[in-house]
Amino acid sequence: MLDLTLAPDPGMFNGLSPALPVIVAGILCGLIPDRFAAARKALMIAAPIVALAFIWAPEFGVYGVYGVAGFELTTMRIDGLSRIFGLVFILAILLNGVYALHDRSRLQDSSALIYGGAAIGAVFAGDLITLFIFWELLAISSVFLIWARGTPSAVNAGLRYLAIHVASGVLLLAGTIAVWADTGSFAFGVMTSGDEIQTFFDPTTLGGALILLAFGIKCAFPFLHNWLQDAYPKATVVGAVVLSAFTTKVAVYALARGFAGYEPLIYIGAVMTVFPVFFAVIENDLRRVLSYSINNQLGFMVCGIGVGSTLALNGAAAHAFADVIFKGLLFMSMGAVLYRVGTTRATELGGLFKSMPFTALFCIIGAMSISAFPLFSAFVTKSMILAALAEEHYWLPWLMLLFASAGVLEHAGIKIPYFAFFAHDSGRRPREAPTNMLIAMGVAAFFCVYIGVFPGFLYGMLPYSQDVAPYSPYTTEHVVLQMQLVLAAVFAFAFLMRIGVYPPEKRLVILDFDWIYRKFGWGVVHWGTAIGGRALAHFSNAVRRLAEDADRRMHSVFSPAGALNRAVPNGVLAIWTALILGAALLVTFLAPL
Amino acid sequence: MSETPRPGDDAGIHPLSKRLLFLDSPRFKRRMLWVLLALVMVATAAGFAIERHPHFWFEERFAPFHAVFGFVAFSFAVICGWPLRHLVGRPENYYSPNDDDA
Repeated sequence: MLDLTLAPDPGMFNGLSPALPVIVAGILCGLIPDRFAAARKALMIAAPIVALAFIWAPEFGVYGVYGVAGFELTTMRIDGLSRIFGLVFILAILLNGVYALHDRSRLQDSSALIYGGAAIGAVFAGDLITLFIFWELLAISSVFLIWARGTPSAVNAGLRYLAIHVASGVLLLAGTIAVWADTGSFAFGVMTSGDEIQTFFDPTTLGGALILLAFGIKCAFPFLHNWLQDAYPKATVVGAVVLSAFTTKVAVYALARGFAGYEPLIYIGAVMTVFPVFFAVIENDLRRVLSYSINNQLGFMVCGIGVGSTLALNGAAAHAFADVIFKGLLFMSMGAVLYRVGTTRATELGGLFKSMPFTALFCIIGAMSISAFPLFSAFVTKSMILAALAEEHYWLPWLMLLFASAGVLEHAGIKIPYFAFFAHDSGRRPREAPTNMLIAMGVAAFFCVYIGVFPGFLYGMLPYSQDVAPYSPYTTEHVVLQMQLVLAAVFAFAFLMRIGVYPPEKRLVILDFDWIYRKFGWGVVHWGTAIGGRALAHFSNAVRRLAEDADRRMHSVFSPAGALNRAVPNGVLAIWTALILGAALLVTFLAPL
Repeated sequence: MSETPRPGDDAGIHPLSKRLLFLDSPRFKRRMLWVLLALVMVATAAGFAIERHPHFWFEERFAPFHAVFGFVAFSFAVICGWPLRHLVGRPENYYSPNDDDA
């Protein structure tokens, strides 16, 4: 018999998922007309605050279990891992709501909330079916943030994005069914503690492999990553900020839940950190540079998950938390530039600090955070992953991550603020960003510094904070070595600029792996369609010629002028035929049964 | 959309930015190069003075490893940009007309 005294307290909201108030608010936003836009905006601010109360109320445990169509769906499984992701998603929804206050797009308000709610729903899902439902809702709700831009290229990019993410959902569903066939369970990762951490799904089984592939698409693994650089830069000003927070971090969460300690993830993550560095150097669109930067930072988290120690998993979760904030801040600053100037091409920017000093300041704070300068957030989070790799003696991935740390300093730490706000003066003097955007950026910048200065705030929320000795980022050795790395990299930038070796920005599109399906694949389909069309035409002609030939031959035999008519006239032949058929009918009718 | 006065024109400059216009001067940029070099030297020298607990042999045998690695890694990434751009750079309308929304 169940001992009710041991059941966890679900709190005043009876263990309802915090996704509920956010998604309901999103649906309401879709129904509220523009003349009541203020009510919509109030909902965007209120929904995450209510969701926060939903997270705060219950003790760790499993709630919100519902039977649907014979399946048991667990909508609220709260533990150390889901809580930290849930909290940062709620913070992101709130910041996005403030950032979007000036914007009157009903579609965008609604989809941003439903998308954020789906992300929360996914991290609190306690089984694979519930995860699948929110996984697909993530894809469907977020595509409107791209389509809301309204340009043909945004529409096309949105279609590609939707196709890839729906495919990810289909793979997740197929993997779920395969896992169920193997184990008879829809369970999705139970948090183990201490030294017991192990991969929940077996990637060598069909189900485990399909689920890993589904997670890998959303996490933008190498060769599966192009939807990110394709779609995010084409989203609206607000849309790109919203998109940067959720999809990829849900995938990181899912990997941490399902594949912690799966060693190949270390190398996948290391490659993810390195290759975007090279592309970002030559990319002209600064929002696309930031999209490459997302890949780069995801690599650190994937690496940490692959290592699978408590320090590494804490590092991955902490870095995801910090990344949502500083990457959001960087996207916000570029969104403000796009909003005021109308472009984020580096070739058309420069000198904007003269008229947008606060945006420039917040961008620099975001840049210093992602670059892991001491006193900024990534310094206290990224170092946990590097320390975990070093502890486990993975020297090559460690070197790759160190290279990527210098690389991210190049493209996100220096290139973004330098080419937008300094460099050559473009002569543009746009107004400073709207107040609501500045407030959102200011709050995000505050968290970037606060986490960097007081890491205990974040460390106390980490999934394994109880199991391990607290990590100390501010040792003399760590500060000095990190300063060596970042200062030498900044000096390299100044030096290469001075001697004219830094490649100047050019208006180009940079081909990436998406060339395979956007150009080569499209070419194959185009060629195949043309060849197929010609083959079909030839086949039709051949059939038509055969029919015409048969018709001509029949005509030459049976027509009034045909061969048969030469001996016996047609009319006589018809009469004889009718008589014979009539006789046959009569015989059949009269014949005994 | 932005107004576009001539470069150097004070019109449209934020009052706060007027105090920071020195950031734009070539002289400041020249000095920054030397300041940064000095800071790198100080950080590298500090690396010799502190007690270190290296995990790998290359850190242990080569004290200024992080400084040299930072410079080389950054420079390598940047210099690779030249051939890479020739290899994968295409006109903006490569995929379709008006493809780039930046």
